[in-house]
Amino acid sequence: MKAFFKTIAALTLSAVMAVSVLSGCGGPQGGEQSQSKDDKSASTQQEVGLKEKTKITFWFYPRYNVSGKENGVYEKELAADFMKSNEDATVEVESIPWNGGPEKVNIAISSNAMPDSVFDFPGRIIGYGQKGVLKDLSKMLTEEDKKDIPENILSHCIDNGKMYMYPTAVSPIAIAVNKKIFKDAGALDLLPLDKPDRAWSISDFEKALEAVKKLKGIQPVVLFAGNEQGDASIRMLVQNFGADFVSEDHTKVVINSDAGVAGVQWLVDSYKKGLFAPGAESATAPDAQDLFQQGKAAFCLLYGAANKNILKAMIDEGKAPADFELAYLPQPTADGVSQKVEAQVFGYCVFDNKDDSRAAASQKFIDYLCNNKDIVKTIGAYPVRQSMGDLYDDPELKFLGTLSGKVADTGYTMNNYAKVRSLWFPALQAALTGDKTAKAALDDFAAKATAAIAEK
Amino acid sequence: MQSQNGMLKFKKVLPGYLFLLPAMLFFLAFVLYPIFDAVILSMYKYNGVTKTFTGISNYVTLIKDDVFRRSLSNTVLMVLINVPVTLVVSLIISLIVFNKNEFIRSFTRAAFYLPAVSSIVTISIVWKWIYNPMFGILNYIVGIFGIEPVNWLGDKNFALLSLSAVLFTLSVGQPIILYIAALGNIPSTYIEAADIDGASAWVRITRIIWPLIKPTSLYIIVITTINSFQTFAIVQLLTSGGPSYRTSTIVFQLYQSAFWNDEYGLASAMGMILSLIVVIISVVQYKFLSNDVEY
Amino acid sequence: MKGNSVNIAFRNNIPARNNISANSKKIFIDSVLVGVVLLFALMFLFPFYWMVTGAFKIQMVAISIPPEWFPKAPTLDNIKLLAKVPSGRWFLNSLFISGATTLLVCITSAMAGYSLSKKEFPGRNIIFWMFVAVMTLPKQVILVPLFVMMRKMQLFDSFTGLILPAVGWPFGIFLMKQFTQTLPSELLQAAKIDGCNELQTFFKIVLPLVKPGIGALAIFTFMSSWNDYFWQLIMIKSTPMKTIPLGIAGMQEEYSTNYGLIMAGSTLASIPMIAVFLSFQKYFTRGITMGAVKG
Repeated sequence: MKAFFKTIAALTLSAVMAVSVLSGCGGPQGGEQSQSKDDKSASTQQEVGLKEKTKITFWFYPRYNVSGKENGVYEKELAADFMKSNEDATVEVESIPWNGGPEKVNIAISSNAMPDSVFDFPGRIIGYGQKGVLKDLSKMLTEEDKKDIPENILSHCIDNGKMYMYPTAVSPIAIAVNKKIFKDAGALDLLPLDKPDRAWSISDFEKALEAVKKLKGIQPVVLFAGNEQGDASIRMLVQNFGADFVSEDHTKVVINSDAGVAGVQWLVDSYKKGLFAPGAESATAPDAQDLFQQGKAAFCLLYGAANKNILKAMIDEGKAPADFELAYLPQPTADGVSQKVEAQVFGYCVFDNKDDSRAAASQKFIDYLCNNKDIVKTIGAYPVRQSMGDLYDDPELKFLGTLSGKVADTGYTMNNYAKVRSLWFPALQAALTGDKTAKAALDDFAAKATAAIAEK
Repeated sequence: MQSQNGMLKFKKVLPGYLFLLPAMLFFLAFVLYPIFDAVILSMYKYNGVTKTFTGISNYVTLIKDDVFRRSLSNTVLMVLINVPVTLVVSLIISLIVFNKNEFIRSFTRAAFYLPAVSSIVTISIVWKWIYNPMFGILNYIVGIFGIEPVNWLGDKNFALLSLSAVLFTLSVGQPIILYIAALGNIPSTYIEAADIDGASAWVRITRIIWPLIKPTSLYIIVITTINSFQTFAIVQLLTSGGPSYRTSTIVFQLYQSAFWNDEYGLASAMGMILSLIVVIISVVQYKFLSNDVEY
Repeated sequence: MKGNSVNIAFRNNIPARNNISANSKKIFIDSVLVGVVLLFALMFLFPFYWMVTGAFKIQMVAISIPPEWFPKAPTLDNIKLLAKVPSGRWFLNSLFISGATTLLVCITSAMAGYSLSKKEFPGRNIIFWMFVAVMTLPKQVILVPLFVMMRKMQLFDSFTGLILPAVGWPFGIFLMKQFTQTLPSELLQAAKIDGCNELQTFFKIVLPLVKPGIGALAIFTFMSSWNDYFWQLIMIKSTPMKTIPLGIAGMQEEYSTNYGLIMAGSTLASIPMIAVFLSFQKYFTRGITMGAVKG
């Protein structure tokens, strides 16, 4: 009942407010008015901050996986632990969901109610930096640190000379295979499990797909182009034909090269041949993982280290076949040697809330989170610092870790990345349905994507 | 004397205004003001942070944009499929059951209206499962009749039809309720008279029943048209507009551009175009069909 | 087909003018047609059957072909998992949001409907037609500016932000005006003569008489608020703040595509609406037909 009255009060108040805005003849002026109001409240916050303990707020996507604990619980424990040794700081922790979280951050930015930090990946964090709301974190890394973190990973965190993300872990994305299915098909030798780096060529991959296609009730692999999820993995499949996604300076999309066209053409041809499960145009990455985990697809095109833990839990609970045999493979390449790997780099950014003590406290907490092996391991990924060494005993996870040395440019740091990626699957769909030739679809994608990058 | 008169008059009309006030406040703040704001916003480039006046350039961008044009034609196509099918099917069903016993009428109303009352999200998700090309039950059922599996949501020739079918299940309930009520209200003497004249049933429907239920039909057409133009959730949940924008609708594009690409001005322009189309069509339908409606 | 569907226009109480064989032929055709309609209705119910039974299937069964028409080894896992999601919280959120919206809509609409139908004041007709005109607009037009506004008011990701705009939409006013209009004005005159003041007249005389109208409006508002997916989708971003349809839609992405779990959630999301609909079918029917009567 109390809540109801509160609502009523809020309603009346807001109705009056809105009407007053209306009578002041809204539009752009209305916008400026409330903008200045926001500034004011920000500055009062600042004054308070000097007197009291420094209060910082961290937002976490559910990346720390501790079995048996709900999302956000582990992060709260970490904050409590940090506060024990840093008594002048109060850390508030909030868990934000995958779907909805990104918008929540965007809204927070545009309404000037930002947290102090978000734990995320460069695909979004660099975008925040380009909006000018992040602190440059270059100074957090010493020269020694820079040597400890591989160049190709660090480059994901930097845009225009400014380091917007402090990296903590990297998770290479690979192809996963269920060896059990290949044993059933008597075709285990078609997998490159014993080859150096498990490297293989496109035609090797095709042969393997052909071999399991014959099995009844089994799909070779689910190609997915349904929504934006997992788009980079499919693009990397094309990139491994020898194509680049973007120009080095990230101003032009160049995937419509001959190699890129060959890659998409191969996807289209293989789809027609039935090497990919039907329905690729509307299938999503979770669909693909699910069918794989149920033992009904031989391969999965998007599988990270964390997925293995999920699979293991499913097998333990009897929700996936007990005779599942998981192995990781790199994506096949045109020459069967030079591999490109997609990887997600995870890390923290610091929002510029115009408060030095908050920024300092945030950096301290980030330092605490990123330089502890156990915490990094909980992400279910690999540390970006080589000095942390090998965290996994499992041979498959060990192998997956070696792929992080081959991380290629996924274009995360380009301008307007969100819009660019939303154009990719429709282009691929156009090729898959035969609406357009592979070349026309890619040309169209490259033109539109390049235009999107150029947009201010 | 004059002012006292005015006061009296004011006192007399005051309660009317006061009773209207709460609703009016909400209406002004959360409907009328946003409508004007949408007009203004559609002439700005606004990403949530910076706002610049660009005149009609958003509209020009949209007219040139082949994705928007395709979404527009998809939406129109869905309307053109859904409105006549809904009208005809609901009329046939209602003609069959309106004079049957209460149980049959009740059951019919309930069964066909159920998709509209239960959440649109659940309907969409169940259909997504049913339509799945690998393990969906629909392909299994058509397989029994020897039909090759169909890629319902991914095939460029089927996707829009598959969505239209779901839209149809969401649309047909209300017209059936309306028609059953309208047919039940026709005085039986009208039909008896025709019956005595020996008029054939077809004549009875076209000459006697149809003119009497024409206002209901008009209402159904207008409502179904407006609703079909706003198709969003089934697109977002079933196809995300694919394959290659073949099921993308105006509202889905509006959602994408506002809440995925942060193009609020452009999205508002889409909203304006949609409103314009809907209003024009409603007016035309009303004029065209209400010509000879008798009240 | 045409010839068959024609006979249906007969009403039951047609005088027994025809001979017996023609009558029995008609009854036969009628039963066949009703059978066809009922069969079609069962097809409409099938997704619900599939949803409810799906809730008791483990994923391996849910994606098996041939499908299990009825779960052979029903599992409660999905329902247990659902509690963790946290769907109970989502359910209560939906209940609160829809309940609060309904309450506010009914209060403001009943007052406004009374004002517009029984009070004389300048501008009354203009205001009423403004409400009607706005109702033909697609609602999505105002959602972008509303969203921007809610953000400025710091009401983003809050229940208040979900509820307010729903109260502004004038459908309820329209409905209540139509309903209140049918009350005899003499009644109100009499109340005045008896010494009732304005508020007493409204609460003691008008409100009890328009109760059926409010009932219909309440059900409609509750339903549309429960299913206001688009607005919920753009306004609510935190897991504990989600509504049940929003939560179900999100499960598709976050918990892989576990159909059993999603179907369990879908069942939970649609049960209240279906229950309300089945118990208040009369109100629904009245509300729908009432909304269709032109003013």
